[in-house]
This record gives sequence, structure tokens and C-alpha cells, in this order.
Amino acid sequence: MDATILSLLTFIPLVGALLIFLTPSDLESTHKYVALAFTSIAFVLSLHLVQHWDGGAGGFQFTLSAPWISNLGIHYSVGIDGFSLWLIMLTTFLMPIVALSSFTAVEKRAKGFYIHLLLIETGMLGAFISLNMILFYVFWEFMLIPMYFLIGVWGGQRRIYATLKFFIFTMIGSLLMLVAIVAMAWFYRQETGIWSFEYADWLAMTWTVGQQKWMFSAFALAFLVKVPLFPFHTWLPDAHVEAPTAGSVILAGVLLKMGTYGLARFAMPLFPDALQWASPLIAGLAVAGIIYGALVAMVQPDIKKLVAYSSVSHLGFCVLGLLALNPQGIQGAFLQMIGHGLLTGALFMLVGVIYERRHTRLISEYGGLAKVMPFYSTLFIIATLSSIGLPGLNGFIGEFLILMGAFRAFPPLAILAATGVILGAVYMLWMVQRVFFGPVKVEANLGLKDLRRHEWISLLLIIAPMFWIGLYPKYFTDKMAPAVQKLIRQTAVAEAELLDEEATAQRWTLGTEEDR
Amino acid sequence: MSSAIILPNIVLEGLWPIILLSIAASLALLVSAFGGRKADLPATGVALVGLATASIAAFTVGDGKLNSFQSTLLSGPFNAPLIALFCSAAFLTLLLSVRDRMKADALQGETAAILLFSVCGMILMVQATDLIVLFLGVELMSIPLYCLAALRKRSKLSNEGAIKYFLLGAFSSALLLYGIAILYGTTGTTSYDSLLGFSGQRANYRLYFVANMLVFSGFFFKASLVPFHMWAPDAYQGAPAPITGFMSTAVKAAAMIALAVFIRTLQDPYWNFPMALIIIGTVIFGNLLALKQTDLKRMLAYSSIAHAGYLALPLMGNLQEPDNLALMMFYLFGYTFLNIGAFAIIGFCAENEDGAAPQERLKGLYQRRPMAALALSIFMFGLAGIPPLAGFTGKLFLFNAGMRVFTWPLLAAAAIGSAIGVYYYLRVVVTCYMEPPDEEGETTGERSLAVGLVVTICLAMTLLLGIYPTPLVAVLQNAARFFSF
Repeated sequence: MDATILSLLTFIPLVGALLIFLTPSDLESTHKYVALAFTSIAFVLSLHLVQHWDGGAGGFQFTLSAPWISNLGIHYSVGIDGFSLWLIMLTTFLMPIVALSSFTAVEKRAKGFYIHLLLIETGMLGAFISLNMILFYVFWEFMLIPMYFLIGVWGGQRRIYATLKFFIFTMIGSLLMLVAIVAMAWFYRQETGIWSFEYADWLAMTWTVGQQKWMFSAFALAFLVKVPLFPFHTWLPDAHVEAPTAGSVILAGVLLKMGTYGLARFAMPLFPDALQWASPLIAGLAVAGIIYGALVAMVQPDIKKLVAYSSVSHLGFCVLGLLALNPQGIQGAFLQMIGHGLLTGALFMLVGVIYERRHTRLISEYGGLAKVMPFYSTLFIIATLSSIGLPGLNGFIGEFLILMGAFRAFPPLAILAATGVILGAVYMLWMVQRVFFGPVKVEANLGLKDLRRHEWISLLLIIAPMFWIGLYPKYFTDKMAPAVQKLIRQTAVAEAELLDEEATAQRWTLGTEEDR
Repeated sequence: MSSAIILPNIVLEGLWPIILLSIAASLALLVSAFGGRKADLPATGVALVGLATASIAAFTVGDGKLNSFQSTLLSGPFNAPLIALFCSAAFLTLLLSVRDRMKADALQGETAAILLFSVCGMILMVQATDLIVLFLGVELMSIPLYCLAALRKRSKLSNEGAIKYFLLGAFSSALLLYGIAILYGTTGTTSYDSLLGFSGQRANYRLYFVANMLVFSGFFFKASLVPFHMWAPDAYQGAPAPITGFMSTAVKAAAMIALAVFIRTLQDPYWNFPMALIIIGTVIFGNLLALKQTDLKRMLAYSSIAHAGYLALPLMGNLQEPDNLALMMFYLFGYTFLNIGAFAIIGFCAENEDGAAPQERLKGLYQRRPMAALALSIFMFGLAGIPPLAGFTGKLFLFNAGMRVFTWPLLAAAAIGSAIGVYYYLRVVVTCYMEPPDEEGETTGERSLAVGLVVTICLAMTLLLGIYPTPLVAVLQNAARFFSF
């Protein structure tokens, strides 16, 4: 069971997609429930991973390696560690909620919609479990197709422009990464005489600094477009705004995390010297993204676009945390990743709720909604507070740890980044004030119904874990701790630094009781 | 009375595929001549049987190498996969042409016979170990194609495309022949065996160099590499879609393999730099020019020019290593099925009476013909190189082969070209799925068993080669190992 659970988990949504494909188009409710069923099955299977997690081991668990294209060293190798564990949980947790929330949102061509939903889940899970570079690349590219259809068919006005932009931006980065991957395999073959695309094999190799710089650039480009890092972020606002609600949630919730995951899993450990070389630049861009994203979000008239730019800002924090290369920074980055997945997912779903009712997302069209839809407003404000970083909710713990870690690595950048927290509060609270408080200015808002059952079920399901992460993050960080240590070891370049890290790590890891 | 007549060393066993195809072609002609229109299906059937038996015969030559016709033809197991590829392409094309409602006055038997003769020419091209026989093969392949391109006698577009193809093709054949003649003049031989490594002897190097240049030009034309690609868009647009499918796949395959064998014979590193320039130009220009096209057939013509550029990547490497050749052949397989499938659907859904295939005709295809839209999307994604389809594994292997040469500009150009290519492939998918149908679109809701069969075969091969390429790669590596003389 252990060896096959990951593959089972990944391909069950594919089976569901095939099932929906084979059922005729008129049985619409079947499609909805089949999708919900299969995504829920995937979630239940992923619970097994958490239950049987071995907390002390630093390596990969639930591994499996089967030959695929053996003469080129391409194997079906899968496994997860603390990082991928929580990202997989995030994915399998979000997908049933997304499926549930789309029940009334998607009316026409629902069959195709649910097929693509399931296909994208397979793609995402596959990318998180892959330990072979080509396998990872296959899933990474494969994810693009269902997303492309989701935005292009069920999206808003400018959906075709948005989806083509999204696809081509990502594809350019990916193609460069493919060239880098093949180049690395070639270098590996020159050194050892065998072809291999295995992650473990490549970790064991020492690459020259020159090789590292080129490879890192190609990899980083592909991943940072996905994150998205300023200035490669321009595809994001369009894609988010034009995507259907479910698409936005998946895009913001999981797809963006692929970029940071790729950084942490591949780009950083494989090329530590190049990382040292590029780190100031990328950290600078991350902070630029934080502040730029926040400033642009402030002036948006469209709620969804505001949330999209806030994603740019939040993920800038993640990148900054990762680059800090200390336990706080990396832990914070991953907590922020998971938390952001939940909170942005919640925000997009909330926006989707009123969009379904009023078919507009302009802030000026709303006002005083708290009087008309109190339950909805409560949930929206909770999500907002999480985004701002109120202690007790998940946003705080992530941002706080990141800033702590970043301050030890890049003090001036951390100070600038802290202003991003303040700006975040500004744009979110201002938006909330204009939309929910004050008098009801627009006639049409008076008759709006509060949340329906499937809506508040999905929203509560997303918001509850935000409290869990905010109040008891230890549960999550414990399982990640070995992976964090491993990443720090892999990216360290000097012995002295290493010892220092370990000593402080002993003191600062969220495991010691004295700090609480 | 004495041995005045010396019989040449003809070993007919190596020629079985060609013999079988010729017999089948002649029979098909006869069937059509006596049966007329009503005998279309039997004529096609005869031709199909001929193709099938020829492929099987190719595999049964034995595991040795047979030198036929005084060592001007080399047959053996290494040729078999290629011959099977040509026969499959012709098989699928014949199936498609059965229902081609644009077919003007040509009887099916005539079409089949011409197609089969063209395949004979291709087989000659890959079996040749002598430049004269190679030229014979090139002509035998091309001249029937000129006729096939003009199949729609009443369409101006078709006639124009065919004339352009014929004139430019004749010109390129002249270049090739002139090059061969000068080569004979400088080296005293036209046999590959003797030409092997000739560049070491620098007797008359300038003339030798000019000769090579001419021969290469002839090959580049057939393979439609930049800057010898001008004929391709017009010829591809004018020809009926099934024939275009054949032209863009099998002809390119034959030309590429012949080019590979010729370069291997030369073993002259001087050509690396010009080849590199040509590859970069082909990949970038082919993809860029496709962006502006609104006609599907022209767009796919430019896309096939770009694919010829990708295919030429392994030519830069050491062709003595069997892997390079094998990986190139693998890409050819994937590309053939993708292209024929794409042209099958375009011919079925998007072609109008003149033979043009404007992209607007695909609008709302998902509503009218959901399966066709799905299949076309898969083929487009495959051509764009997205996993887990044949185009991706092909491209991965090509990058692998190209890596052995360490030419970063080439690989970067190929990556950028692929990225550009994604846009116009995706645009087709957008038109099928994301745009509402026009009022006037297709009026007939006819279904066709032949097109469905072809598309299914192509889809199956695309998925198979994308997910489980190992068996075919093993066969091709085995075959490439024999490619030494």
C-alpha cells in the first residue's frame, strides 16, 4: 500500500474524468456528483499519508520507482517529503470544495468543466510527487491544458486573451527548463557514463559554478513565471480575473505554489552556488513584487483583480522567505504557501458568490452589504483579516516567520517587506469598508440573498483550517521540520554558516516549549 | 559463346517491397480502367493490400544486408521500419482519399497507382547507396506527387500550387543532378562506399565543395528547409488535404533520411556551420510565418517547415552513432501520425470547394462534431509538443540527440521556435472550442467510416508513442545500428 498510495492518489481523478467522459452529456447532475465523489476519494486517500507519516525521517516517504524509458534513465519515480505532503493535502482538500462550489456556478457544458477539473487535479498531484525530472516536466506541462480550457471556455469577457497569455508565458519558461533538464542529463552522462533524469542522482552530483548559473537561470525563469515574481507577473491578473471561480481558486490556491515548490525542490538544492549568486537579485524582485502588488491592488476597481494583485504581493513574501535559507524563513514560506492557498481560495469563492448574484465585481457597485448578507460578510471579513495577517489566523504566522527569517538574511529588504504588510492592511480594509459597510447605495443590492447551503458549507470548510494553522501551526511545522533542515543543508555553501544554522535552529524551531 | 554477357549482380530479394507495390499499382490501374467509377473501392482495396504486403515483405529480408544491383541498393532490417512508415502513410492517405468529395475526375485506381509509385520512389531513396539510384528515387517520388497535387483539376488554387511545386521541384532536381555530375567529376565515383570520407583527399576541393552545395540544395528543397521552403505553403494549400498529409510527412521523412545518409557519407565537419544557420532560420522563420496564416493548410505547411528544422537537429551530430539516427526516425513516426491525423480532420471539416481551408470554418466545431474537435485538439497539442503525446517524447529525444553537439544557439532556437509554435496550434483549439459557430458552416452532417478509422489510428499511435515509446525506440535503434556500409 505504501508504495502505490501516491500513484493511486494521483490517477484516481483521471479515472473519474474518464468516467465523466463516457457518460452522456445530458445527465448533468451525474457529472457534478461524480466529480465531487472522486475528489473526495482523493482527499480521503491523502489522509492516509498524514496518518502514516514518519515524523523523524528526513528523506522521501511512500516512494516507488518503476522503469519507464529506461535507456534514457527516465523512470516513474515518486515520493514525498514534508514540503510536498502539505501541498498535496492542500490540493486534495481544495478540490472537493471547488467542485462543490461550482454546482450552481457552471451551467453550460458542465461535463467538460468537471472533466478538466479532475484532469488538473491529476496534473497537480503528479507534479508534487515526481522525483524524476522528466516525469515532473510531463505533469508540469500537462497541467497547462485543462487550465487553458477552464479559462478559455468558462471564463469571462477577455478569456481567450487571458488564457493564451497564461499558456504562452508559462510555456516559454517551461521550454527553457526542458533544455536545461536535457543539458543536465547530458552533463551527468559525461561524468558518470549513464543517462539519468533522477532527482536523487542529480543531487549527488557536483556541478561546476558555470553550469550551475545557466541551469539555475533556466529553472528559475520557469518557476518564477509561475510564482509569479515581479516582473513576470503580468499574466496573473488577466488569468485570475477572466477565469471562472473554480479556475481562480485552483490557479491561486495550488498552481502558483508550483512555482515556489519547484524553487524549493529543484532549483535551490541542485544549484546552491548559483543560488548564492542570484539570491540578492531574486530577493530584491520579491520585495519589489510585494510592494508593487500592494500598491497596484490599492487602486483596483474590480475586487477580483484586487485579490489577484494581493496574490502577487503574498507570494513575494514566500519567495523572500525561501531565499532567506534559515529555518524561520523556509518554514514561514511554506506555511504562507498553504495558508495563502486557503485564504485566496476563500476570497475568490466569496467574490464568486456575489458575482453569481449581481454579475459585477466592481467595488462601486456594492456598499453596505453587511446589512443585507450578514453571514457572507462575516466570512469575507474573516478571510480579509487572515490576508492582512491578524494573529490567530494563518496569515500572521506565515508573514511573521518570513520576516524574522528575512531579517537575518537581508535586513534592508525585510524592512521594506514589512511595509508590504501595512499596505496589505490598507487595500484590504479599504475595500471591505467600501463594499460591506456604510449605507446601501445601489438598489439592486437590497434583495440579495445570503449564502445558500452548498456555498456556506464550502466556505466554512475552507475557513476552518485557517484558524487551525493560525492557532496551532506546530502540527504542520513538525512534519515539515526534517525537510526544512535538509533544504538548509543542501543549499549551504560554507561549513561555518552551517554550524551556526544548526545551533540557532535548535533554539528557534517551533518545537521548544519556552518560546510559546 | 564465351562469357560475352556478364550478368550484373542483381539480387531481387532486396527489391520485394518495390516489386509488390508496382504489381499492386498496375493491378489497381487495370481495375479502374475496366471498372470505372464503380470499381473505386476494389481498386483502393487492391492498393491497400499491396501496401500491407510490401511492409511485411520489408521485414522479411533477413537479418543480413543485401546488396542489389551491383551494390547500389542496400536492403535489410534497418530499412524495414522506414518502409513500414511510408506504407502506413500511404495507407492512411488512400483511406482518406476514398471519401474525398473534392475529388474531381481522377479515378480511384489512378490515384492509388500514382501514390504507390511515389512510395516506390521513397523506398528507393532510403535503400540507395549510389547517387544515381538516389536521384532515380527522388524523381520517382516527386513526379507522381506533382500529379497528385493537381488532383482537383477544376480548382485554380490546386493548379497553381501544383505548377509551383512542379517548376520548383524540377529546378531542384536539376540542381541535385548537376551536383551529382560534378561530384562524379571530382571524385570519379557515385557510390557511397567510395565517397566515404573522400573529403580527406583535397585534390579538387573547391569543385567538390560546389558539388556538395548543389546536392545539399536539392535535398533541402525536398525537405523544405529555409531558404528552400517557398514552394511548400502554396503546394500544401493547393493539394487536397489527404495528399497534403502525405506530402508533409512521407516526403519529408524520405528526404531527411536520404540527407542523413548523405551527410554521414561525407563526414565533413565544414558543413556544420551552414547547417546550423539553416536550422536556426528554419525553426524561427517557419514558426513566425505560421503566426500570420488564416488558412489552416498554409499554417500547417509552415508548421511542417518548422518541424523539418527540428528534424535536422540530429544531423549536426555524429551520425555514426546509431542513437542519433534512431531518435530522428522516432520523431518522424510521431510527426507522421500527428500530421496525417490533423489533415484528415481538416479535410473533413474545414475544406471548402476550392480546396482552401479557412480557419473560420472550424468555429464551434465542438458542437457540430465533438469527437472531431477533440481529436484535432489532441493533434494540435501533440504538434506543439505537450506531454503525454508523441510530439513531446519526439522533441525530448531530439533535444537529447541535439545535446550531443553542444550547440546552445541551436537548442535555444528550437525552444523559442516551439514556444512561438504553441500560439498558432492553440489558436486552432480556441477556434474549435471557444468560438461560437457561424450560421453558414458545414451543411452536410455526413459521417465517414474511413476518416474515423484514420483518425482513430493516428490518435492511438500518438498516445502510444507519447506514453510508451520504448518498444519503437528499441526497434529503431536496432535498425539504425545496421546503417553502416
